Amino acid sequence: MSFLHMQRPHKLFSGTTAALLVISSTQLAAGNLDIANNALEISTGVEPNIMLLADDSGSMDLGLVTTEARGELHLPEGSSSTSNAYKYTHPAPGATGDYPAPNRGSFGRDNVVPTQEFLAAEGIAAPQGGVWRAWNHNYNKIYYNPDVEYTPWEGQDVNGAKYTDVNVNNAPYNPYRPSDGGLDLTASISYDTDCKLTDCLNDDDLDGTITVTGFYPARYYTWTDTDADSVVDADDAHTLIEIRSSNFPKNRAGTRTDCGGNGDAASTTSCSYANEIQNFANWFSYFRKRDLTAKSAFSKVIEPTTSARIGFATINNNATNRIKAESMNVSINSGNKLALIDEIFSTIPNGSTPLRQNLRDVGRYFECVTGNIFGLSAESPAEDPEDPSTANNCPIFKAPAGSCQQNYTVLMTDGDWNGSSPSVNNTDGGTSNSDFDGGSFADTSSDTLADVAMHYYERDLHSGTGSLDNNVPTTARDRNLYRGSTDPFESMHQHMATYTIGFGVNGTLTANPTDANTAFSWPDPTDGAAEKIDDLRHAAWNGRGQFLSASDPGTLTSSLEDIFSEITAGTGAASSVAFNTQNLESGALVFRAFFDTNTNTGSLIAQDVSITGQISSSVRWNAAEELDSKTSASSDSREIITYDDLATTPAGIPFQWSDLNATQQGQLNTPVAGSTPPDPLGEERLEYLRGQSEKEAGKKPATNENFRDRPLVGGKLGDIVHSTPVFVGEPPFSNRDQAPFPITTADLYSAFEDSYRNRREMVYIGANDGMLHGFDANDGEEVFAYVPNIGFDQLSKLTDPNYNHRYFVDLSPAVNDVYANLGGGAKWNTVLVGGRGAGGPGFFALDITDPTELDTEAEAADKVLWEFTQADDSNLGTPITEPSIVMTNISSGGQRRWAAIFGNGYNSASTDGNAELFIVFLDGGVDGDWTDTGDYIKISTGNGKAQSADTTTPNSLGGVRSIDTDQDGSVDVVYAGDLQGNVYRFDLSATTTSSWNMQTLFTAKYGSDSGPVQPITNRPIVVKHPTEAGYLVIVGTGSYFTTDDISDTSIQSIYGLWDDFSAASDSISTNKVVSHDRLVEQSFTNQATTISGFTVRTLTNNTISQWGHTGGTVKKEGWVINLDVPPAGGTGVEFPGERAVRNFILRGGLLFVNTVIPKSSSACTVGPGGFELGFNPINGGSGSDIVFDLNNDGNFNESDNVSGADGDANIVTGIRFDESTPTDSSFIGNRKVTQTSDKSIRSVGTNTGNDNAVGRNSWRELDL
Amino acid sequence: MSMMPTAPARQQQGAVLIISMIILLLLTILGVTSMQGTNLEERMAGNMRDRHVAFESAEATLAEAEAFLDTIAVTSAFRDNTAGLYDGTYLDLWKTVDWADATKYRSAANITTSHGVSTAPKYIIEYISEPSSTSESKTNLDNYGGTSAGGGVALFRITVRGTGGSDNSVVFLQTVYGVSGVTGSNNL
Repeated sequence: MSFLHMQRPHKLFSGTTAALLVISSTQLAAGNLDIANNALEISTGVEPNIMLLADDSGSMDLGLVTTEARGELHLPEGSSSTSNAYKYTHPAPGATGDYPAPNRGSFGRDNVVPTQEFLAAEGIAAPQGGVWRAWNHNYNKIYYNPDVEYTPWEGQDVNGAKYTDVNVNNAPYNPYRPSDGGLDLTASISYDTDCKLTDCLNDDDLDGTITVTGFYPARYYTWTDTDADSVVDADDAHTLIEIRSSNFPKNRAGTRTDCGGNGDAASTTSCSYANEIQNFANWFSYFRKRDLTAKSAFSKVIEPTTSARIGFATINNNATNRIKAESMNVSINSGNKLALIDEIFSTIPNGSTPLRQNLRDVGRYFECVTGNIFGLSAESPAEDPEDPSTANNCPIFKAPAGSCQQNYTVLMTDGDWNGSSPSVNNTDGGTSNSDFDGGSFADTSSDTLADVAMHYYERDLHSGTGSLDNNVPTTARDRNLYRGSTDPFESMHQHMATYTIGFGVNGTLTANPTDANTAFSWPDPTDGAAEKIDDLRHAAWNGRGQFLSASDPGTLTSSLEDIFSEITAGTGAASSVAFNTQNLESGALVFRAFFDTNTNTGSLIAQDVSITGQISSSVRWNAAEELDSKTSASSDSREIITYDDLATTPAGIPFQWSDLNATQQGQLNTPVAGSTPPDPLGEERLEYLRGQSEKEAGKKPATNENFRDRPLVGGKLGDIVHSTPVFVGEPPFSNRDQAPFPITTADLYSAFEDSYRNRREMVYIGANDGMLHGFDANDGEEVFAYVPNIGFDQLSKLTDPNYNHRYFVDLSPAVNDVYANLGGGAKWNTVLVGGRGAGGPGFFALDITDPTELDTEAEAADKVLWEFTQADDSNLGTPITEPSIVMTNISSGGQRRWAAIFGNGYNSASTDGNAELFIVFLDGGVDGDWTDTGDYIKISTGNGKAQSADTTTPNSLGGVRSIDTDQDGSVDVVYAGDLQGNVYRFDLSATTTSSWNMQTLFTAKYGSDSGPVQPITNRPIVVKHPTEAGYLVIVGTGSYFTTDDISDTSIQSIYGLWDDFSAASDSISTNKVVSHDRLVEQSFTNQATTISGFTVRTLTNNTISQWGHTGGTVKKEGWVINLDVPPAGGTGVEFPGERAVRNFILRGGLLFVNTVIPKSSSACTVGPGGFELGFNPINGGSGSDIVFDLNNDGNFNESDNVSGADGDANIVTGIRFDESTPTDSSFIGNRKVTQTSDKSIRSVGTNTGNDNAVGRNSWRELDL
Repeated sequence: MSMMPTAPARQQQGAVLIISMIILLLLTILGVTSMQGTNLEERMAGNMRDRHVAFESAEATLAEAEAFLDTIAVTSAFRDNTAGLYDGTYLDLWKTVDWADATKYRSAANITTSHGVSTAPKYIIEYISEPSSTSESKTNLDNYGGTSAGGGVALFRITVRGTGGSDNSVVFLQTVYGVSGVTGSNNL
């Protein structure tokens, strides 16, 4: 909020330039706040560069991965000679030329293993060299395993056709190029090969080329370990199974979901012949060879990856199969991802294994020097992450982004390296940079692969001219293997990390060194093939990556997935957790919402909570994935409704093309609101918004309309940023059976509660896919969704392939049970009031009393009560806190009226820009308009644009707090603050609205009555004054929703202000009850030492001995905590801009609030995201009781204190969130639970269990 | 002829015998009676001990149940009316409780047959009162799921059935126990 007291002109004040700067169609009016369109909690981050360096050596064409030399199968057994080797399990035609011949021609045509049955028929005695093992997956690790489900590659072939289950009668040899032909897997064939057994060589008939006949290609052998040595011996028992209809069905592991398995390997499922031959055919086409298996793994790992820049090259550096690292789009069928995967799919296995110099050349690519793998000339980092057109030869971004960009190489190979020396010498020997080499990294060999990895790890790749600051965040591997003295080792120079995967090969070593410093005996790679595989492990150790040995398709894919998930992470959470506090079918759940900034998708998950409050790590349901089952390419079974505001009687309507009014249809026909002439695609857009995917850019065949791609799995639910899930089950309130609530028997709240005790339990949440969603709390099924008519004109942007994130339904839903006539006579109803939050002005109300009535679109349409928009009142601006739904003191027809109360919101359109309190009666808009007297009430504060620092910024009332002073259940007083730092008391205790009034209680300014203004956006909370009349009103200052807020470092505060309620008293009559010099100041001290791993702060405990508004300043009117806390033992402010903008919670006599520390927009900054504070609300001090159970031992004792010592000054009152930003907290039992922006949850025990009634209240013995 | 004194002497002798017999009988009765009394007292002492064991095992189990309640954070398990945890508003509760059906009570973990009881004590817990409203929660009005203020006390009734060395000695103890900060179904 720097504009309120800043010297420099606001960048957005400059009229026309602003529109060019802002990627938004709505031009900001002068003085308006620049409300952020993205979550401030998570910086978008700098995408890491990942270079895939894949093996394209000739051996990748093999159809065998065994434990024999080079993974081949040899006759006679035990031979390692290449001339005795077989390479294929199935013949393929055209073996005379090179690629595109399906079997590599240079291996010769005689490389298919002869069958045991053929040899036996020719009189060769058992075990015929154990040739059967070629077709057994225990021996030949990549052979067909009937317990595994083989699925097609992701993506499309050279003709643009998506990979699907292959045709069993013509299974392509190479799925990328179907023109290479295919094999009928259901007919016997014959093929030519050699028999290399001595018995054959001695047999004239079998010496030289033989023709194996009667080969039924869909086959496998089962193996019985006859001698129980766990080795697949040639003479072990085995049975040939041909996949023919006569042999089926057979039982398979439950992981075969294609036969209806449940995914559990321990269970079995019955697979029919059709299942089995299809599965075999998929294996044949997509997995038969090492190369095919590797392509499958790459496609499956790349398909879901979006938060990385991925490039590809081959170890022979084939110029036709390489591509620079580019940012990944969502769909594998379009854009950079399609270009990348095409390079991978078209790779031809052919060549040797020169790993070392090509890993070096990838390193040079990251170093941006000549001789790199793309043959590019040297250039300095110049690319702006926001502007792809600035890309040059260097994959590293320009500063500042480049200074923290990470670079990875993933090297996958099936063999030992050869080729020429990389000429890097023995870099890991301990002489180059002993912070990173020496110790366990050192060996005595020079120019190994490990030396290359070290060469590009330990040097700063971007120093000197065009250098980048060394801000690359360290990974756990970097830190664990660090040998230097920087502590903490949080960032380092630009470097390349190296991950290696050995496919089907094993070295002599089985484990890594135990630590960085202890010398390790690495084998000499020149000793042999296995030692060269050890060098792969050494390279990953030096390159601070991971060495993974994969022998079968499953582990190859999972190895790659492990590496990718380690490298990329791009999702976050800004929504707090919600607990269902009622009984579900089996226990309590926690609901958590997330967003993914890369795909603009979100998820809502439910996890079980144990009786002791532990949150299970397993996910009960994921609403985004449940939604997938309701949508398909061209249809959906969702119930979605919207609102027709133009009808004679405005009402809810189905969200179907034919039901929309002409304006809505026109808005959907407009690609980007207001900027492009309409097209006729509105109906397609509506279908897209409903979750149908066939019009997405990446969908094939090309029937698409180039709409924005969404991920295949869980991609239909939009991102959920600030909206917090609300659980609605049994009506939960008590004490509503007495006046002024209805007291006639039929209208009792308890009768309502009885009627709806067992109603469908729901979770409501707003998402930025334009809808408010209602999910079944037990299984995550979407029961219905509501598309507000407010903001309808923005919906078409969601289909834009160049969509920039914006907010749609971002406000947390507010739900309450209200007694009102909402159309069907006066009765109790459960009403939800939602809004667009940062998306813009406007609220909507739904009747959610009975969710089963929301099961069809036609019925649900009756449940939309009203919408309240800026057109109804121009003072309405953008709200960021949910309304308070309360019973008022106004009576109508003998019953109290209920209202939604909220502040007017930011950037209102009114001319005066005044901050106003809105009291919107829930029954006011049911008739379709807001024009009747008393439909809603506004109370203006009189402070607007004219009172703002620049006289043009519209003021806004922030979050409101409804207070019941007489505890009869109705709202009597509302407290709220505004952007200009004013704290107001709105008195709604009168029974006529005309008597409602407003008083200014305080103006928040840092330090003194003349200090810089502190804006107020957060909801205040009140606590009864301990000794005097009235309340202590607790407010936190600061805002956290505009783009300026992330870089604003003005000091914010928390105030406790005594409102003694005597409107006639001397100081209130001056309209400014509290002055700064009557506030007791408390201050935090950041501590240097950690407790149980937590960085903490303590708080002073200055007492307030006298309260009063007049007389000497010894009489106090409250307290203040300024969040200008110095670093431990230092001076200045450690976290300028820290602000208490999360919800206040009062519990057990303590006040809790989470603060947020703004992170600069530079994505490179890492650092604390905030604190959770807990202290005494009466004096704002530490109190004398320990607050947090830091060591989690269930006790609150001095071991939870600083220095383990007693005393108020040692009580921990603040715990830091070291890396991520906290959201609002919830309590589960006495544990305070906070979801943070990195999707983790922190739960800490609090000392809130003090109460007289705790413990044993009575005891008796029952007489029998 | 004078009367021979023999007859009285014989009579006398007879009386002695009879008296002796009577005394013997009395002594026997006395002995038997006192033995019976001793046996009875022994038996009574045994029963007393058994009952004490039952009582103490029940008391110890109360402490165990209360310690269990101190660890709970959510009350949803009490709504299922199974496994010894019951909803206090469940009307059929005491028709349902069956101390012979292991699925309907909880067994003490700390008191077992190795402590001299024939059966481990059994107990049930009823959730009888939702968390009370606090002054703060009545003042600061909230919507569904509101967390502004809370932490009131929820009440539970524990009923323990302890047995002694034999299953014939049964002691029932009952306490009402308050737990703060559990998350009940009451948002207020």
